[in-house]
Amino acid sequence: MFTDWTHWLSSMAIDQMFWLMVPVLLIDLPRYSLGLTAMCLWDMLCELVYGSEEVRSYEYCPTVSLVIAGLNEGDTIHATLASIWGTYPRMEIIVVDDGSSDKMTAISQDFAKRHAGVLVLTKPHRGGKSSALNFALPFANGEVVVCVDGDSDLSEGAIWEIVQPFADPQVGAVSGAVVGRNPFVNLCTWCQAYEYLRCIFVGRMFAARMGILGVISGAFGAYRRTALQRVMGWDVGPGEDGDLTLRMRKGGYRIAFQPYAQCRTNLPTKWWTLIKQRRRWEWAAITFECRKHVDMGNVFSPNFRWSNLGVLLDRWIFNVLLVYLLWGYVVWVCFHLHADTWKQFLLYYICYILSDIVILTVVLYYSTNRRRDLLVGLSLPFTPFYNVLQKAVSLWAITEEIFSRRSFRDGFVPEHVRQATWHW
Amino acid sequence: MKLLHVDQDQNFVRGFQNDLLRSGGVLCELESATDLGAAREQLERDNYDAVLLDPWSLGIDLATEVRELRVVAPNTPLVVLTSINDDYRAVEAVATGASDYLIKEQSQPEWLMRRVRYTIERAKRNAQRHPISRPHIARHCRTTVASVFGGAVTGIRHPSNTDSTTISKTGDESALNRTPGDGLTFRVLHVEDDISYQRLAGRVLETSSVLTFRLDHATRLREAVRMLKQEAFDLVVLDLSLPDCTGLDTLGELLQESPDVPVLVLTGRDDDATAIQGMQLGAEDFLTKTETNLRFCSRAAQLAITRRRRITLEQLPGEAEDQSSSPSDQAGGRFKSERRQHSRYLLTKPIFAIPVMPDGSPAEAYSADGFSIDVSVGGMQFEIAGIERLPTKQILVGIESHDSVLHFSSVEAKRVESTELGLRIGAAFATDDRDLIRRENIEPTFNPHTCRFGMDLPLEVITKWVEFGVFRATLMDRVLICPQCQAVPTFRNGCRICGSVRLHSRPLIHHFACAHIGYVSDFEQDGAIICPKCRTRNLIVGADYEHLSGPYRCLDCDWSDTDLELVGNCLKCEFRFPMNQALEEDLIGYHVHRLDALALINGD
Repeated sequence: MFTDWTHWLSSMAIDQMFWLMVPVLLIDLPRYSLGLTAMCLWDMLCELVYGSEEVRSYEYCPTVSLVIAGLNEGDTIHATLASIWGTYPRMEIIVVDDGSSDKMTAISQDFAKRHAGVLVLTKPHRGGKSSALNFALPFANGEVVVCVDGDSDLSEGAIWEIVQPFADPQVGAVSGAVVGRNPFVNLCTWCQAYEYLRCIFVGRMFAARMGILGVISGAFGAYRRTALQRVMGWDVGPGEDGDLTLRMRKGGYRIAFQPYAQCRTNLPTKWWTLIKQRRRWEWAAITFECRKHVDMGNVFSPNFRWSNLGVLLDRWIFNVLLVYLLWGYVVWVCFHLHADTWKQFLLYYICYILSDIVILTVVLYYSTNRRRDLLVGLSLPFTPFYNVLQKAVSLWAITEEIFSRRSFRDGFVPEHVRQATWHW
Repeated sequence: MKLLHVDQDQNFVRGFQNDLLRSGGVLCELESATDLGAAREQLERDNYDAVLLDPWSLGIDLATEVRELRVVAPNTPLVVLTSINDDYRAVEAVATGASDYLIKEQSQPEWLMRRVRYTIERAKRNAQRHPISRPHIARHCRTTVASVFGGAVTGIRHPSNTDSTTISKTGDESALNRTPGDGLTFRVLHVEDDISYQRLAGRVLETSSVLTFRLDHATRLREAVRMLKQEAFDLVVLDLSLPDCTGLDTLGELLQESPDVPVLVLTGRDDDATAIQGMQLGAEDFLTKTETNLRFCSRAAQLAITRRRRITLEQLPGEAEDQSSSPSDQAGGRFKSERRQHSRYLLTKPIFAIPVMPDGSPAEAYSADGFSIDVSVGGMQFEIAGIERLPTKQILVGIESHDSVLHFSSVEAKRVESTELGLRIGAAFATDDRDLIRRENIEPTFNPHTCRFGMDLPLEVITKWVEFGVFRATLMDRVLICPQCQAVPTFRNGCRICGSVRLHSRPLIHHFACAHIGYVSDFEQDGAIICPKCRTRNLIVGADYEHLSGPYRCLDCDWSDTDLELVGNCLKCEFRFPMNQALEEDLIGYHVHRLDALALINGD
């Protein structure tokens, strides 16, 4: 079988091979593999020329207000607070309970009584994550507001890392890297962990260098407080983290990424939970980049910036256009099946694997825990199938969002807020 | 009942009282006097239901002294209780003012007390019908045997007296419409359907030594009434069980037809309540058909006639004057007497008396076998044997109730009398500050001067009472106190840093549509609520936005937080501290089963 495939492949002419490889462009393979390879080679060259920085030093130490907003996080809030408290000298911690029905407030207050600088705020009614984060703003006194999810914990020096870009006054927000805390639970978490390494750890590193980073993870992000006050905080979600990033970009702020400011978060262990989470993420591409902030692409706008257009194009092309083209191609193939179809898809699979090997190499180059990341990267034989699943979810999500504004019927925000807010 | 026993023979008095206490049948309080002067003082000072008097043991002139006693207490019946069994002296005593004449050795104390009770009922009834005042008695109470029976004294002579004193009928016989007889003969109508008993009683009556009776008989009430209408009788001896009428109706109907004739009820019904009702209805005396009473029947008949004649004599001269005397005094005295009579109870439960020393600590405890309680005046009386004096007047008495638990009450000795056995103590229930087991003494109460909880009794004194088994420690409550001076603080929400209550709060608004949360002052523009973030106007509370409590800012230390903390502020030293630093203090109180006199009487 493999001999047939090699014969089939070697019998192809160059032009045939080119057209055969066009569908590979429909997946975001080149987006990462080519760009990341270039970035990695550049950094290696720089390292050869200038030498590596042996000891990382932090020179900028602004005051920080760390906000942990959550709903029913009573089981994990204590561990999160314990991992954060005392890791940064000029930091106040503000815990916002968005009307939990569990003991989140009580546990937080118990922690606050025994640890200085911890403030616990409790909203009487649930209002959504955006309002919970905004509730902390009148109480925040730090120059930088760092947001962390209640079920996450930070790596060593993460706060120090994430505040360093704010030394540049143009920087309005900094994204931290989110990695999986539980990568080896099952295949679902294994694939997700590698996806986080590929898309967030090195993917956003590349996007940030290109100046087109369009999202700061809600799980771990930092904002200049004055910038937050200027844009008046978060808007109603879901996708409020990406929305805030775009509004900051529109406000003229630069968005930075700190790959070594890492936040470990729990990955969904069930496929259906994962699908629901990714649907919510994909809705944001339509709601914000295609509707609410589409004015960022208006070249005649006085605030127009090419990088903002790049953000929109990145989302439009890779999150919308290519999804439809990919599944259009799949349908076309289904109607034009022939004897060599499997050889064609085997070719795509091998190309994808090779591409992922390159990406994994880049990840390992930048990684601070190479053994762990290598183990995570061993899931790459499954990642083509995993990505196909993700593309299917994307198709489902953006289609329902385009035609029915599904995001405004989601339970991520409470009913009274959904009714009151604008349905973009 | 409250009785005054005037007798020189104190042995008899104490024995009589002990017999009464032991019998337990009649609840009475007995006080004694050994001479007439003391008796007069006691009668002046206190009200008694009756006076028991033995004039021959005192060696006094009966007529004079009885009169004086009656002037002091006109409505108090005098009962001669003596060892001299003499009909003439009995008639003489009653003629000069005594209500009854009883013989000490004659019968059981219960029987004697029953007679006394009848006397009291009769006196009360007579006082209601013929109110008499003290001045009236002083002027007109000069009756003697001679005056009672008409003045001409011939015939009957006292057997022990050499001076013959004969009472003979005089001209007033016609006025009394009596059938003439030989000597001093009084007509008695004996209404009895039992012929054998009629004869028996007839023989007894005929043996009377002072007054001579002429008996007429009737077996039915109707017949008796007819005879009374036709002829005058000095006395009716009535049986209550007749063929044509039974019970007190017999007496009622007879008195309705002949209200002025004295009736001596001689019935087979040994019912105390019926007897009392009969006395209240108008009977002159009440005897059951027992052997004791049958022997006593002759004297009872003589005394009944004598008593009625003496009362009639006393009433006649000054009736108008008596009516003009102050009715309020008479009514007040009567009601008081009645009240006292009905509110005194004799109980035979053991009683423990623990004198309370001036510092509140207990002295040696004593016990007594019984006591009496007067619920109207709020007092009790008991006798403690074997002691000569009380250490203090304040006493804690303990009485075992039906649930076998000692119940205590604080009393104050008002009257302490030495008796042969020990001390008789009349005590009043202590109230307010004199009550040892008042709440302030045994339960922690807040002292505004020290700002602490405490009790009036010192702890070492309370410990003695606990060791005595009277007080029992109980956890009443638990309070938080100042860690610095142990005084009681106030707790209020305040700044968790400095404890100040000078706090400033700015309320917030949460606009649902854009998730913006800002100060109310930022939303208020041009008199309307406008979101400063999304510029939405005319927001409606509830539908568009909600209010949130804003952060508090301490005006003293500039601390800021959303939640306040309970901060203690010591009332004494003004030390401020978080509530979790406060000390906990147990408030230990002491429990005592309080004595409920009414429940004790009712047997609850």
